[in-house]
Amino acid sequence: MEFHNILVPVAGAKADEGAIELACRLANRKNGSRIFAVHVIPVERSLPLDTEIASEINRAETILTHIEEIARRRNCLIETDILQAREVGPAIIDEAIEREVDLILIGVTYKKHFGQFCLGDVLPYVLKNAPCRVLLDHQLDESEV
Amino acid sequence: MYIIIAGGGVIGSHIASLLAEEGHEVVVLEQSREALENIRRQLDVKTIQGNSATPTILKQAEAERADLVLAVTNNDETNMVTCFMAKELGAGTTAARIRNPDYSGYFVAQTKSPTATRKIVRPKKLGIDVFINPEAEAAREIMGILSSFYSTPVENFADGTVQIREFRVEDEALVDKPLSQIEFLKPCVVAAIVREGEVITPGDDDVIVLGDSVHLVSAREFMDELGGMFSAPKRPARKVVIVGGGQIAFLTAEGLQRQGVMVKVIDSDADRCRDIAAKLEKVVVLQGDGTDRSFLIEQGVPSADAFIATTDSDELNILCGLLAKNLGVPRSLVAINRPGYIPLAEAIGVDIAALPTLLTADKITRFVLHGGVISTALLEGQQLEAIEFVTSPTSNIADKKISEAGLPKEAVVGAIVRNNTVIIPPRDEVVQPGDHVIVVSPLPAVHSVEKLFQ
Repeated sequence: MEFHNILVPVAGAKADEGAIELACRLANRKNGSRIFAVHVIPVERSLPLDTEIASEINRAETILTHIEEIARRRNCLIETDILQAREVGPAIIDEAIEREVDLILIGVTYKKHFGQFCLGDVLPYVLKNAPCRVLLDHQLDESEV
Repeated sequence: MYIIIAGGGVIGSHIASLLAEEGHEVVVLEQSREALENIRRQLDVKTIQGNSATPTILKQAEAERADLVLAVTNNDETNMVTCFMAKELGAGTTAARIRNPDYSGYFVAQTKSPTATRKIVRPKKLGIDVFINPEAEAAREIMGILSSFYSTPVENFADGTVQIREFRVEDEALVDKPLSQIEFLKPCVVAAIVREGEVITPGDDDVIVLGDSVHLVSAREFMDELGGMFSAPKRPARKVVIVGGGQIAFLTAEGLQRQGVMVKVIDSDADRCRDIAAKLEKVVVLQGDGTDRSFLIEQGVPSADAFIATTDSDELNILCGLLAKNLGVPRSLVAINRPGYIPLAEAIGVDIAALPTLLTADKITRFVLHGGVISTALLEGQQLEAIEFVTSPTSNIADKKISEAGLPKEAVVGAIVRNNTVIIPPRDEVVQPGDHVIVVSPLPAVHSVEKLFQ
């Protein structure tokens, strides 16, 4: 299976590294496939959407620099972007539409909330609204072992 | 590496000489025929005359095969366009000297819909991988010195667990004894002795002379105690006077103000004074002549903990530094751009010369990194380079004793960090894969050292 444009949302979790490595393997470099890594900064409604939150931007830059380094080690070209939105899920979908991606690849771990398995808010929204295939790359959380 | 340097001014030519000495293939692009002629006379590098921001000149310089493009002209915009063009032509890493902090900041892009996702515009998107602000680097270094007990900058390695620091020998108890007979209070390695500007690789029988400087390698927690053996510690500065209202002065005053330090800025230009006073609320700004002795006394300079001279003129800075020293200020720091003035500044007793030129060059060497190197620092006016290597299992030095590894005789292994444990002195240790090895070497011997770690 080949993909031309792959979107990988990253949040700074360990699972992001595996997702980027998988994206590098799935991208067909000969056909000019492109990988886009995005980090979305959620902005509280009490603040204007245009607010520049320096600490969040610095954190995002650190995350994306690390992701670029992983891609570079695998000889993969990657484009990175920082987005700012009220909700993370819709921002990912908007980006997927704008970039015309054919795959959204997200690294996930088995999360529990009040003892119950939980996907959180973002993943269900992406799964429901994505204009393309969505691949969840489950990785074993070492703390679960 | 193939390196293109756009701009043949003081910084450009200095970096070119440094990189050429390390054996890199260097091309300098410069518009001024006179500046190019100077570089041609002094350095063994290729030169091209023309505007580095134009694709024609960059193509002529073969930007597509450049591993590194350094844009260090006097103009921020030219530097930005040079990096952008070079990146588009296929250059590897790009670095630009950008003085205006607005260019290296982030901003949120506007959208037509008020609720739409905003994109953060990042400086990286301009094709610049590394932003170099010599003035900001100099201000950072000055603040680091003022907050410590000794008037010398410190270099950190292995996540800060190992430090290299220069100390001037002021204690006669250490003088005229062979190094092997000096009982150091804590484990350390003397990586170099500097005598009248000349760097000596120390052997066991070498003696220290009063007025020498030593570069000491030790674990971070021992450095202050070791420093006390060489010279008396000074208290961190709480009251600082800065002469000159330029960018270094502003950034230093801003940083010191944040730390709660009392700062006075003196500049002869009324507009600049007004500008600084408007931006820095807690800083006292005075319009006056920094070389006027009676004015300085009137403004309480003799009671200051530190005096910093950062005007645009190197000569004026040295003069101001000397005047402050004469008035009894314990620490006198001057910003100098011409490396040739360092011995002069040191000879008249100015404690530290913060050189934007050298700091820029230092920052650049940190990312002109070779295989196995994870950190570097230039020492002693760039005669020495301290390098942190990570030993790979296939490197030539792996599983060998340091004393038998074949290091050049001028190079000194200062420390090994193995699984977060600092080993000092590491003389008889066997280097194991994964070890972080900190080596101090003169620049011409760096290549031979690198080969051992490849």
